[in-house]
Amino acid sequence: MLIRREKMFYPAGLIVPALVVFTLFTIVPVLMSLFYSFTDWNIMRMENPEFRGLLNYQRLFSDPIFLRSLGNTLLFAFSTTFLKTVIGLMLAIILIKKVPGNGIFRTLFYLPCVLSTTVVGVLYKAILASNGLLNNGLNSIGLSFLTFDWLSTYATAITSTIFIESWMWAGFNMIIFIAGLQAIPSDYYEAAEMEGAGKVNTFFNITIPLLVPAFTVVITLCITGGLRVFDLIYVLTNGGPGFDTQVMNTFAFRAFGQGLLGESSAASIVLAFVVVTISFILNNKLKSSEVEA
Amino acid sequence: MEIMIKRKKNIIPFIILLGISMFYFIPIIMMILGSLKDQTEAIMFNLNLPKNAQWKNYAEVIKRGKILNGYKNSFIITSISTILTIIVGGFAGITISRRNDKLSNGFYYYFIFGLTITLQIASMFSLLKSFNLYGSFISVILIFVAQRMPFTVMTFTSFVKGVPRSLDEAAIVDGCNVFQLYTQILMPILKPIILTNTIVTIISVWNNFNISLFFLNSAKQWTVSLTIYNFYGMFSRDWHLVFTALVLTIIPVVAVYLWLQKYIVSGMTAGAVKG
Amino acid sequence: MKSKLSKLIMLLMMTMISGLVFANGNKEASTTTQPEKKKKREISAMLMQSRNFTGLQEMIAKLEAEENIVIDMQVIPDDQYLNLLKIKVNSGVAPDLMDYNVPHIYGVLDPAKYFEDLSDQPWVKRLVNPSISEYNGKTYSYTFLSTSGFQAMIYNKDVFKKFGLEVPKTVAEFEKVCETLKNGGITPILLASDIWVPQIWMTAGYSRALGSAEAAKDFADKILTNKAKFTDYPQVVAAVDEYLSLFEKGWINKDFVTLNIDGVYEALGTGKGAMFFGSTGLANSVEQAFPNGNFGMFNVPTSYDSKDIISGTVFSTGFVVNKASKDKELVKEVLEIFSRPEYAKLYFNDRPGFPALNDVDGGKLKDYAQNVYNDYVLKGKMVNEMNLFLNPLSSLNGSTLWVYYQEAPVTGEMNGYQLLERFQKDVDKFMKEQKAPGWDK
Repeated sequence: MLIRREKMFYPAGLIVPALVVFTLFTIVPVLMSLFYSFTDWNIMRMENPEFRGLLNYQRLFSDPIFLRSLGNTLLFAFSTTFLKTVIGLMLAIILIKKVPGNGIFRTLFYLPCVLSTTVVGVLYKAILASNGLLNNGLNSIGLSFLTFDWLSTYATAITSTIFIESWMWAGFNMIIFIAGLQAIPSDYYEAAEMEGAGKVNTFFNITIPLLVPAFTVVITLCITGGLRVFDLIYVLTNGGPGFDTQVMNTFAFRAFGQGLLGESSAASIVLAFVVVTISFILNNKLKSSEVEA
Repeated sequence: MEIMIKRKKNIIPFIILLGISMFYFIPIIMMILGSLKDQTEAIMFNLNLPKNAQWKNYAEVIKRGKILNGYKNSFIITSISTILTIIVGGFAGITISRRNDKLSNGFYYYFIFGLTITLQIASMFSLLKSFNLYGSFISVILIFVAQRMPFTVMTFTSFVKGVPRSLDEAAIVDGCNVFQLYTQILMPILKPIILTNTIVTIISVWNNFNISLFFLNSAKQWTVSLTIYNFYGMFSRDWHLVFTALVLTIIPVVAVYLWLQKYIVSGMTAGAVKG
Repeated sequence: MKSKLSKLIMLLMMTMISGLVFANGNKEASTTTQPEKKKKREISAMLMQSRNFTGLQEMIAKLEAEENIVIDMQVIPDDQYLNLLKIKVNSGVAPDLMDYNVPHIYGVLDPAKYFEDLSDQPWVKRLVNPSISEYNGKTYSYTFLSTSGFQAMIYNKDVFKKFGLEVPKTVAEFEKVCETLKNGGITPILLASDIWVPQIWMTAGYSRALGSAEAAKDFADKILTNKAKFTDYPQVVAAVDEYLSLFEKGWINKDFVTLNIDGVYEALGTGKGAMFFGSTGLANSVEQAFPNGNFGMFNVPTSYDSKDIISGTVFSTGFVVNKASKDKELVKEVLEIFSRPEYAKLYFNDRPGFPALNDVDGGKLKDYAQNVYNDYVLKGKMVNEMNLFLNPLSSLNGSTLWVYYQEAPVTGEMNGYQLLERFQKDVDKFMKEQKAPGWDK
């Protein structure tokens, strides 16, 4: 009906302020970086960058530290997405029931993402240091043989950052999953119970498919956030030991620090490309399973 | 009887949750206890109670770290950014969702694309310079608003999908104008998603560090999260003051969170889950 | 429903408004309540966070109290400082005063282009060591110190006494000291994870290995103009190899990748570790952390320096004046006020040192610092650390060379030659990108 008339009541002009701010302060800087990534823009010569074609990109892909950071970024993003999703879902399934202290637990599990990454980084440095809280605790309960200098090796350092990131954001996903679970009509479960379906069966055949929209949101936010990780790595390991835990965003910042603004821009453009590609593929996958459900 | 059985059934999950919550309690307790210890106690990094609670740590950090000035600046930046984000992003989200034509769907994906973008420090620097905005609150606020757009537009758009159109139509028939439709009819219904975005925006703006550090140009404009660095640095052993500064930084945002948290689930239900 | 929402919006509005009112109120209060005072004036400055010393804070407080000149001081985290300094200066938004090490800052930014020439200022004549703040014969900085001191081994005397150890004079004696300590369950040498700590061995070592100020300067000039490579100098390579051998011998704390500088002070003060290679500034910090401790300093005997010379840190914390500053006269006035003895001495209140100006009291040096000063510096047995000569590479160090110094002992896959070969590649790229003279081909 009256579609034309109705549209007058949703003037496209109301999108314009958002469009302008977003374009000026998010898109334009990226386009500038895209342009500069083909130049030799340097902090010591900011006014007159010269065109140099794909040289910055060629350099990136022949730099072992950059390749390493690419690998770390993927490892970090996928493993944190997995952990955050699984832990978030588990917590949601427990907390959807009337467990005593329900509200307090929800509040507590969400709390870490209220804290800034700087705060979390400083806290966990104090916990994971060789003379930190974790080792002191292990010593005091007679598990001295388990003490370790957690941030000193690649394996333990990257694992620590993955766990801390998951610790921070699992509660956020928990809230989304709780919202998703609450939206499932209870008659589905009643019907399943009538048909004598077991708990496991119900979970995989009813709960999971109906949660697909929630999964889409969770996974999109997790994967884009994980690929763009910066603060946590910067505060906790600063890419160390050596360059072992360097990720793409810290790599771009490192190039920036050396004054190589063109190369830094190229690195962030590659990162944006990776994020777009991966989230596009994932989104298509998730969207298609949404249709089936 | 039934309640008893239910209680028993729930005791195992309760214990599991209690175990998990230790991971969440311990870092926070360490921070709070640490903020009340003296220098030598704090550096031991344990969960022992302080021998004498050092409340003077707070007085010292507030004075030396110019925390009050930091609070003031953080309040200004956070509140304006949040209000603008909700208004600008909310209107865009509602409109995109209601128009639901090719153009607005295109805009939707344009905004979502922002989720993939990282802060371009050097480019932003020259951009702000050329607008003559460098070092102003307004530049920092606009950067924050731009950063929040993808999430805000995304959640508003899907929330509005769940609001029946008949409501708008009735209002239009009653002679509502555009402004009244948005502010008096839609906004009140959108309360859960507004509050969810309010919390998420306040948290992310309040906690941000890099944007304020790079794009403000005076100590008078320093936000509270920058002040931690007065206590955490190369030559400081003042862990007790670091812990105190951490507590002071997070108190306001934790308070806001505790106050508004009950709306998050309902906001998420319609804003994120009903894709 | 609606009321809670509007309450929230009201609250946000109110905080906004009260914030703005508060901001204005502040200004009015400070101008109206003290009418008899001098007119309030203000300059802007930026400072590295780790150098926000109590002494400097006292100088600033005094300036505000007596002259009503306020310094709007941006205190920047150390690891972001150089980035911010360079980008602010290069895009023309730098504050009036900028802190950094002098003369290091001349390698980071071109003084003639960006900094105000201060040669005609009254305090310049009173400088004990004018050369450190000069560049092409002109003075571009206000410095606090005539020298920071020197780099040497800081040690815990009580630990040495407990094991009956003497200060080692030869490489063999040094080895014996370390072995004795190691067998006694004490960490002989402490090393911190902070990336600027391990490099102290090398910046001192390179200069000592080259043997004289002339040789060190010649080396640096050739490196910086692409006439020589690091690996062309075997004695420099030897300095890295000897550093790496400390790890192989098990003399360094196992957690050198994570133990930060505070932890090192702690270990040294409580006697868990015995020695720490640092500078006079770091010795000051150790003293501050353990005021009742019993510390000393000695020059480490090495195989690559047979002449027993010490590495000097003849530089100073200091300020440069922004050439584009709007109120240069006021900034110069502030520096003149800072140079007055009653101001300048405050800087040394809790950190005794070597004042830049000849009529300023620098406090009483610790005996050991005075002894090293007498035995080495006054006798001319000193050569400046290499970082001073290789100044233009300073923005590269923290993200390359210094990381390699930490990485090499972890992986055990790089010797001194390979490490410097790797750094040479970074240098080549860095200098070429800047189109520095000698590299533009």
